[in-house]
Amino acid sequence: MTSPLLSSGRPHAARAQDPAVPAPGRRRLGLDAGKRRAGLKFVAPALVLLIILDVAPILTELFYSFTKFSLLKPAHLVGFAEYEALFSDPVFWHSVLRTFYFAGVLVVVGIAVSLGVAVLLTQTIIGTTFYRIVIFLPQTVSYAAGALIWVWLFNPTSGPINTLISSLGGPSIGWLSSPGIAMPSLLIVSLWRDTGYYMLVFLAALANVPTELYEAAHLDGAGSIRTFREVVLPSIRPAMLFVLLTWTLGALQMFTQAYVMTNGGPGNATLSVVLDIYKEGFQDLSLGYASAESFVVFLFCLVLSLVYVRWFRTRID
Amino acid sequence: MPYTKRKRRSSRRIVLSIVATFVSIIFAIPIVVAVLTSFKSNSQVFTTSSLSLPHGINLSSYWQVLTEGGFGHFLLNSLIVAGIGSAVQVVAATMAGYALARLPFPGRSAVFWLVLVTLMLPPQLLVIALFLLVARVPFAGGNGLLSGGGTGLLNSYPGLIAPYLISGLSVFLMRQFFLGLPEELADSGRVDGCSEGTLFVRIFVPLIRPAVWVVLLLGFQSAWLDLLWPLLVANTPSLYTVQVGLTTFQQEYTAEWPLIMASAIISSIPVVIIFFFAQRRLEKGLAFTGFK
Repeated sequence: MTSPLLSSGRPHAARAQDPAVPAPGRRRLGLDAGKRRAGLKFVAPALVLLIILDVAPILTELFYSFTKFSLLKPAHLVGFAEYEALFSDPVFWHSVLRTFYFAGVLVVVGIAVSLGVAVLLTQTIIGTTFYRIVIFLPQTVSYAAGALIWVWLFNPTSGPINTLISSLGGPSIGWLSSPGIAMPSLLIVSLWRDTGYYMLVFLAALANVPTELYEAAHLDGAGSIRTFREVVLPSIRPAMLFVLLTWTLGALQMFTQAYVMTNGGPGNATLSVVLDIYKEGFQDLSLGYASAESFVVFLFCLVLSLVYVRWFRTRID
Repeated sequence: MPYTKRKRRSSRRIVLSIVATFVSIIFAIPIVVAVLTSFKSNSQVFTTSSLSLPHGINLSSYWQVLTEGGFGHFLLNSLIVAGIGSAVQVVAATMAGYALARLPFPGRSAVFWLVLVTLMLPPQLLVIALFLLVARVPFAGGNGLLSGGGTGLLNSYPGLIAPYLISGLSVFLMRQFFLGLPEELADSGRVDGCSEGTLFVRIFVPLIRPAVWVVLLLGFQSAWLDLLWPLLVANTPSLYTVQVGLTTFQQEYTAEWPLIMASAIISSIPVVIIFFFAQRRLEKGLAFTGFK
């Protein structure tokens, strides 16, 4: 099955015109020239915006990563000095590890939950529309608003969760204040907020699996687990790649939850790379350093995306 | 043994329903608690259970959030920023997607590769350079043509909207949708003497309308959610988006939970309304987007 998401730059084969329609050579030439002019015109607005808003910034960032630069003093070139400082900074590596930990757990658990829920809601049970709306509801709450709601739920002294635990005789848990638990708490918030959307993506993909495939598997005597592994999973692979890519890249850019709920604490336990870039760049005004950090993380993301795409392509063949 | 089989099936159905109910409750509880808390007074919050009903529906927190908190204005700012950003994005992306899929023009594969690279550029990693570029826009905010020193478009609507005007992902998705349509559609139109613009507007755009809705919603959502960029660019409350408003409100009213919950709920209402009306279109669009 070919998917739009996986077919890459397929050259657009110039199709022969319908033989039923006589197309004199001159007129066809005119058509192609018209197409060419139209193509340039149609692509121009997006191209100009991409160059100004994506290409120029990444090149600017690359340039400033070789400078020492605070907003107060003009930039001066220092070669790889900021990169050297970055690579020898334990806080940077710590934030990279914390971010990968966050993204890894979120994506793995998240895919299991959202796919599981999607499969559950394709079963013949009553009220699937209702369940779907409820699970999608957190998606309407922004990360900042969701973080605020959970700051209250996690409140150590009077928050609902600890109140419930203490009424059952349990200990008071520092959801956001103990270093080992703070990141899992942010993961709970993110999982709660994100699952609805990816559930919808999986539901759309599951709806497109041809019923004949299920019937064939049934005739072969495959049980539900084998059917899932050998029929469902291969059929929804394009959706899986989409979810994996967007969720991973989104999680690697985590900022709002940490900014609102913990400000990176306790003791940098929830310091994501983007929060670190924000602090370095706009609180300490080390813009050269923060540029180098952004560029390195960008390379991490690029490599990871390419690995995903590659991995999925080879598995499709 | 049709009887036992039917019985087994119905007991399976009951188990699945219980699981689905349980999962839904877990997802719903935070919102339920937030709504209940927002209706209580500050003292009630600490004396009653968080799942207990408030004494009547007390809307004073909402009133305070809208008047003292200024959330009406923040919501309007967010709607302007996300609305304009996503509208420009979807128009530019639809046109470019059409050209990349259907119109051979010189340099097309180069443009496509550019789109693929920008697709993998996480926007939050560009904020430093975007900030510096926006601050240097010529002839704005006290800047000369090349001399910086002024504030450029910082602290202005154009500066706030800028990053959301385009996204490589939107262009890429639109191209993929157009690739899925049969070319013959256009041929008949061309023979009838339609211009490329007419073909695009009259034939192709109506056919991919579900996808246009998905791209519009995704663009709106990502601009609406963003906190980092408006945090950097908007320095006066009159330009705060709702996400910035939420974080400053939290710092100002620490531990006044009914107020904070009311602010979180008010900030979500526009998105609830949008999804309520767009839900059918979103599902149709996702089904259309080729996750086959």
